[in-house]
Amino acid sequence: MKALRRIGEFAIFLTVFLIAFGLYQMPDTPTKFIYYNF
Amino acid sequence: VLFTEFSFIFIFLPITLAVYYWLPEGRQRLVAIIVASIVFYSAWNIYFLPMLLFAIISNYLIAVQLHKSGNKGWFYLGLVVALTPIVYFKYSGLFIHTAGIDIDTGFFGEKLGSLLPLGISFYTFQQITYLTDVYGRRNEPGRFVDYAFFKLFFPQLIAGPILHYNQLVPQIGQPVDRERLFAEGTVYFLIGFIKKFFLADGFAAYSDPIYDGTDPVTTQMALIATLGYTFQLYFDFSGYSDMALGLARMFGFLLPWNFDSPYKARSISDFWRRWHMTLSRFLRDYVYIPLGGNRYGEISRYRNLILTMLIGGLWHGAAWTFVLWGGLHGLGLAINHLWNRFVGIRLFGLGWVLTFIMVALLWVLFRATSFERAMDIYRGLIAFEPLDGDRFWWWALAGAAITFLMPNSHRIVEFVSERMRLPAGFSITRLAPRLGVYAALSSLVLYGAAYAYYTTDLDRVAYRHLTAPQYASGMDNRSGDFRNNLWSKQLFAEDETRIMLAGSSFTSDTGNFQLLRDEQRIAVSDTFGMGGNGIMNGLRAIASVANERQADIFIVGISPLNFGITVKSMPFPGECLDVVEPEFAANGYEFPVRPLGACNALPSQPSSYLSVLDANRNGGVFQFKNFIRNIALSPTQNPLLLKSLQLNGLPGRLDDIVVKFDRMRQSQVLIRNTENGSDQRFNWRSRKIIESLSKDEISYDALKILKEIVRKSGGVLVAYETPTVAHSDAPHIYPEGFFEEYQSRMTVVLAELGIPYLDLSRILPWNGAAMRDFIHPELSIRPLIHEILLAWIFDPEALRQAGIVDPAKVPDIPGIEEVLR
Repeated sequence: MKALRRIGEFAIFLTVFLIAFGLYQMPDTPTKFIYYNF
Repeated sequence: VLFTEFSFIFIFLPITLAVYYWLPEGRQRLVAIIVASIVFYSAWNIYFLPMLLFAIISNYLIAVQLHKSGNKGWFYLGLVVALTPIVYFKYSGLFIHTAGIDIDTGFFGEKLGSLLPLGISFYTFQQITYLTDVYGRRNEPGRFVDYAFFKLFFPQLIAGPILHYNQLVPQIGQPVDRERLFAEGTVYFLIGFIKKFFLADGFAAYSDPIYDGTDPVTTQMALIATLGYTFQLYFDFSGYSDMALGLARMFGFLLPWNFDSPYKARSISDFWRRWHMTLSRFLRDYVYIPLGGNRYGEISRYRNLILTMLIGGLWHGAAWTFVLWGGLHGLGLAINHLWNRFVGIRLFGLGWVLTFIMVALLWVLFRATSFERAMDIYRGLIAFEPLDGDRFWWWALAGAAITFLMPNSHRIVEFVSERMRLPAGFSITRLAPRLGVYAALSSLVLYGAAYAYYTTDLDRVAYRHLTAPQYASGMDNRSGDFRNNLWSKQLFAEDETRIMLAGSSFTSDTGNFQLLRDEQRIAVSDTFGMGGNGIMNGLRAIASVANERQADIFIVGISPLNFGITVKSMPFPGECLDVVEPEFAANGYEFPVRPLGACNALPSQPSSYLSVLDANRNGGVFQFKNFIRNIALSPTQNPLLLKSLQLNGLPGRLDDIVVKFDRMRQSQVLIRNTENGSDQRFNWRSRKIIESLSKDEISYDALKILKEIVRKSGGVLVAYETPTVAHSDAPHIYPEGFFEEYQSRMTVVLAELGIPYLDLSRILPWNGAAMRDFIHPELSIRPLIHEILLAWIFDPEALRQAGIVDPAKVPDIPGIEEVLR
């Protein structure tokens, strides 16, 4: 039961993680911090 | 790393929390935070880490001696050691530029004063508070680990709040309600994130173009600039501070407030009690009071106020606009005190209005990059022209409602905390390690996906079918050639005319597009990598394709930025090493290898996959990110701009280009992303660009080698000059006469080497001030350049007739007919 809950937790975390990663790739995502172009 | 970045929120933070709470309470936890903070700092630029560590160690050792001996000499030594780096890096440039001299720092040809170690302004102040507190016996020097924690604790490391040792260190080991603090911290962080990510950047989109442009400023624009920046700065900085407070709470520490609804202030001195409070206190305790404060009568009090604020202004940035801004605030404070002393009538609402107006007006000076631009905006404001409807007014209304009427983040957190009931059995020491494991596993999933993408044929398929949806957007990658791995694969179909385009990021995008000409399929594989990273990147890419005889025509885009000392510093990792090395050896070169960040970010090195996790930063695995983005965008994806291009109709299309350029010339193109203006940081002369193009010099030989590699492959090499600015357009970028000198040199070199050269340098309607950089997403320039280049190859006569470039300067391409079959 506990293991199932952990797997569920991880599934939720992974989903949020991947959606956020996708959102950060959108063109309008602010990219205010830019490396100098050495 | 910024607190709003993906890798910070989803990877660094959970893993750090996990390790922190997994360890037993005590010194181990401090060490964990110190290590995490060093990682956090190094992620930005590891080259400045030794400086930070030196600052910490020297400051501590001196403080210990100071405490032992009580000798004032140690105190002064400590001050000198603490202040030297900031004077060198931050302020020397100001005085040198004011005197009109450029000095090479020795770092990548950068000018003195243009490189600034992250957080130096904040950690320097922290060093001073610590020294002074030890000297004044307000605290002992303490254990080194406590002190290092105080200095490095990452929530406050790069942008404050400015702390005293006594504000943080006594909290170590104190029993606190960690669960409640963690929950409060999350709320703080969320509020800060919304302020910074959505509100601040939303306002910036309106005000930045006006500050960075050169257009005449109407009253409407001036109001947008003034109000927009007033709200932007508040949301940006207070959002950052909220996030810092929140992060510290997640680890069980309280940091002092930095903002307390400053725009509700009823007087200037009230404003400075509410705005960047830890700095105000620092200035009061370490500048104003040592100057004498109000102890020597009224006159010296006002002088001290103004002096303190002048120094405060200079601290914000090394420019005279900041000094004036500080001085005027000092004057405001003096008037404020005079009023209280001699008039003493309380103004209530009027005081608030006057304060807000003064603060907002002075922010113009703070933000403007020059006095002239600030004056443009002030003139616009007092022109009192009629205003038009604009979506900005809704933003301004929202900004005003939030800053004037809403309770601030501290009250919100208090409110939530009082009403929050944590679930029974909730324990941060049990939850945090789990979150860390989930974050690590999730990162592995993403890492694995990126690895699978690059090590299977998926990348090739995606590259051919899913790339370049919008030529006009998303150009923020300027790292090395991220497709190194692809070049060894078969990108083209057998029956295509195969063209490889290696341009600068200004004229190229990642992508593969196909066209038809007389029923012959033509495929163009476009990359960048020739840009600021030097010609070696493009050379490397071309070398690996040519070596496999994968393309027929190679088009390289060049610009001055490609040449000079950087050529020597470019390494050749990966498979093209064996192609290029013998060629260099044949020309008498030792193999030039020097590690440089951009080129290490190659998917061929497993370690570079890690950068996939850092979504908001330029990374080596850009192609994978592009792939993800294309999936995310696919429902609304634009059709490929060039996919349907029938080259047979080319002359008509070139006429369209003429019209488009005309339209660009007439419109003011305002560039939002002005941080890209890095080219003006280069010391063009010290890079020895032109010198290196002499016979037997490195840039000359690099071009010669490029030509040789392509010749051996049986292909044809052509070059074009990337659209660029010259001194007359953009004196802030190029020295006078530089570009012309470069170009005439390049024309001779390429003629000697037999590489046809199409000069597109002046094709764009440059307006040097508005277009501060080479990267202009709004211009949608890439498809136009592509069409011009394809016209040159397939129908040079049509290009000559189109009148886009001087017909006499459209050379024929020898051998092209054989290649085209």
